[in-house]
Amino acid sequence: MSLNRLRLATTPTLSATLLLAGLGLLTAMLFGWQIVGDWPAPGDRLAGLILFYATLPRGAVALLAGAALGLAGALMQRVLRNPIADPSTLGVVSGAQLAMSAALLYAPGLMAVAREGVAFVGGALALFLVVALSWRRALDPITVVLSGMLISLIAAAFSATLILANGEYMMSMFIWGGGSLEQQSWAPTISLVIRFVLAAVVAGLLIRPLELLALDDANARALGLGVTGTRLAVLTLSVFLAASVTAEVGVIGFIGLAAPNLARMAGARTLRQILFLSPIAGALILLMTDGLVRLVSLGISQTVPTGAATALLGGPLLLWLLPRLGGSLRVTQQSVVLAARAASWRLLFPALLLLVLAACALFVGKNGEGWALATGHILDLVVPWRAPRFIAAAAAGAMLAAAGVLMQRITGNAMASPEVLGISSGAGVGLAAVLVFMPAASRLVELGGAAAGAVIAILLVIALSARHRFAAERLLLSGIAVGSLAGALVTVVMARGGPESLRLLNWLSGSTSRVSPEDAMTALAAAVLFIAPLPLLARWLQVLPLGLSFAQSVGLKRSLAASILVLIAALLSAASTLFVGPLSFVGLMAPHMARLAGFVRPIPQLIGAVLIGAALMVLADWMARTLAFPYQLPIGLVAALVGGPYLVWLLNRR
Amino acid sequence: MVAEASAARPAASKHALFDLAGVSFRVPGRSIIESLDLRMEAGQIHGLIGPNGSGKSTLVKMLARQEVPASGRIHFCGEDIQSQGDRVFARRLAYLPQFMPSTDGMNVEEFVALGRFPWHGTFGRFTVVDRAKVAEAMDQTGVTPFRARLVDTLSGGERQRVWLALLLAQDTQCLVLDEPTSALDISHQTEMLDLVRNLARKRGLSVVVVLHDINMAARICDRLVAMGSGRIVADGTPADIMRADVLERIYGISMGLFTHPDSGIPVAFVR
Repeated sequence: MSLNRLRLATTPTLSATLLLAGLGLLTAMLFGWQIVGDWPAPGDRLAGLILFYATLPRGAVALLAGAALGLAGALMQRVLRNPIADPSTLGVVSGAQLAMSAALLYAPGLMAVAREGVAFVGGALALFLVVALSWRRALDPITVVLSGMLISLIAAAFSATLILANGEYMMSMFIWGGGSLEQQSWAPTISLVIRFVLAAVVAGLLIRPLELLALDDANARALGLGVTGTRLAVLTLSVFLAASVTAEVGVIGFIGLAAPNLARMAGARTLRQILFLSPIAGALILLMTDGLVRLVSLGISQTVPTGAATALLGGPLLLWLLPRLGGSLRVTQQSVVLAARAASWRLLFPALLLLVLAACALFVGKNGEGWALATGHILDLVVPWRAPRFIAAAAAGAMLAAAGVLMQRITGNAMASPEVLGISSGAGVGLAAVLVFMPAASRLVELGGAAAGAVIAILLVIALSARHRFAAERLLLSGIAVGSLAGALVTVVMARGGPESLRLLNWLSGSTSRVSPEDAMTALAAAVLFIAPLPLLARWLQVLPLGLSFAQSVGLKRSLAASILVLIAALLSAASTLFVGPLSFVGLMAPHMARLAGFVRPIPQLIGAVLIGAALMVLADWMARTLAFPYQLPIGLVAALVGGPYLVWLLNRR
Repeated sequence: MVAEASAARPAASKHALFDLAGVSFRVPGRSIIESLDLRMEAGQIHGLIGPNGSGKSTLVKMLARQEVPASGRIHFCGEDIQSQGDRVFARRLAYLPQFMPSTDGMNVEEFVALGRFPWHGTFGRFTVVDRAKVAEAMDQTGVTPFRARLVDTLSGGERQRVWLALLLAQDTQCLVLDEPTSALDISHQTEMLDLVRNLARKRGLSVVVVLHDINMAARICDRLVAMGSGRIVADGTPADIMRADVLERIYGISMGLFTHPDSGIPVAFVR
């Protein structure tokens, strides 16, 4: 850590300054080239109209939206003292998107008159939830970002469910969700100009209180600052900026994250410099991305949404920035869970729970009149439908739980899990690639593709955080970067609108309703195959949480052990994600619950977690089937709604 | 088992414990250790002293194979240190890091038993010999009374002794300790270092220990190696080092000495 800080101080950030200058030059060239390309021949009135009402406003909107997001990110990062805060990581963007999807369906009139208002309310609600969830931990950066990710994922799952439930009509909503900058008039530009200028003026007025927030709260209070009021005002301002952008052009992620960090890398040190440079950096990034998108989409007919492309560009940028951020991230000590240790025979309890839930899943359901116990020939009728999804859900839950145990033990970090670290999203990219390039592929090929994606994602995350000994912030930041990158790739594929789009949307919301008996057997086989060897490796799981350096000093071949376990974790995540989608949080919850129940040593924890994970997923599947009968909810969404509150409770525990 | 044990203990008398030639270590933009030559003998307690940032920790990390030198070679017991297998090396040398990780809900006995990993490996059985070594290590460090307690609930002094027990359970001929007393009060410092010295004598161990307190170092070490800016500034017995001019060269401030009223050994103080 100290060496890193030293390096940051001694070697000037020349490369970053050059990068920013290069970015500006490239952007200007790209946009200039577009204008030249669209320049009307003398007398061509149509081309003139296109230039004036499409090309030019598109550039202006890109600049303004980028600047607004950059400013919003800089403000949030300052006020929460959190270098990973931005409108997308804090759930503001997803909240706004969900509010607008819902309004479009249920109150279209409202959308016509008050788009920005709807987006603002959605974004503000999401941020309010995030702040409320992390309030007891004094807005600690990890807690804030985890809560943000949670809210964000749940909102996205709700949006996906809404879209799925309303079919074709809503598909265009998804393309908009990818963030399209196409323009037909100057109206959005004018609206954004007014809003941006307004926000910039308010930010300028708040600059002194913001400077004081560099101190900790106690010191800022001692100097006479109303800390809570200032926070509230600044957060409202950033939500206003982000919601305005979302209402005009859709979901554009990453800019708020990348711009302030880029500004800092380019040498901005004081708050004033950062607040001044961040909007510029944001504007440049977005305009350049849009230029590249237009350049690329000249060749292919399908439009790539710029918002998705931003994440494609911003993701690698963030990955590049991460190792260079040096000591600016505070390393917080994980609170150690010290549960009373339980005897191994108590593993019977989760086993029993799983059995009871299994019986429920098979026998209890709803029919036209209400709850019904299936017996006799009704049972014969429903079992072929209920058994496969029960088996698939149980197997997926077990695999996620095992993957979570592995990840937490490899990294020695209690917050690691396939969902949090973007592994599941990586599996989604692999699946998308298979669907696009081999439309008729079998389940096994899909599994292979998902596994390859998961391995790549996991390796990226580990490579990015290993050198900082898997410090919590570093690990999460890498996970979020990789996850967003993967999510963006999936969005790009979905925005193509081909037959694979619906499959991917289905996968995203996580649904077991179409599981065939063969699928269920595949899931079960994968679970047995990948979980069975783990008890043999219990000694590795015992040694690795103490850190790679410790592993080395007792003579464990750490790179070999870690690689094998990482590979197994990736296979487990990929196989389970294929059936229940990317967002269940079972991989995070189950290992914790096992530990809290007193199963601390590797083998009992693994067994306990596997049982609990399977039970959770069976419960989620059963609820997905019965809660909204006769409609089916996606299991991933239900699991996230069950798991979300648990995660929140976990975060708030002292 | 017998064959393994003798393989892990090469004839200590023939070779130096450590033999370093031209060892350098760099981080981007800076050299931490520059072309270091050093020989350490087996069966002795070597104290590494010097101001902050002098390269002591980096040196012991290279001795414990936690870091790899940028250039030069390190021989351990007559063999190139990098040529030895991970587990073979861990049977010969045990390392106590400066910052110790949280122990993940393990109790004392389970934790000390991890020291047997180099002997039984991933799939090997945890034998009677392993059990006896763990019991012996816990006895010798006095941690047996709280064998069932969680390591993370122990006090600083107790936790340090538990770590020492793990190192002893590794059953090595050499201990490398990076500031084992940095978090302890003066009575626990004394207790810990006396324990190290007595165990080293009893088991015939070679020890390399980084220490900040010059008086503590002089009390327990056979030889002191003083570092400054990645070089060796002074090297000799405590009697050679505990002189006003030498100490001033090491620490860069004016220091004096007086004779301990009870034991008669010299005690250094800042003027």
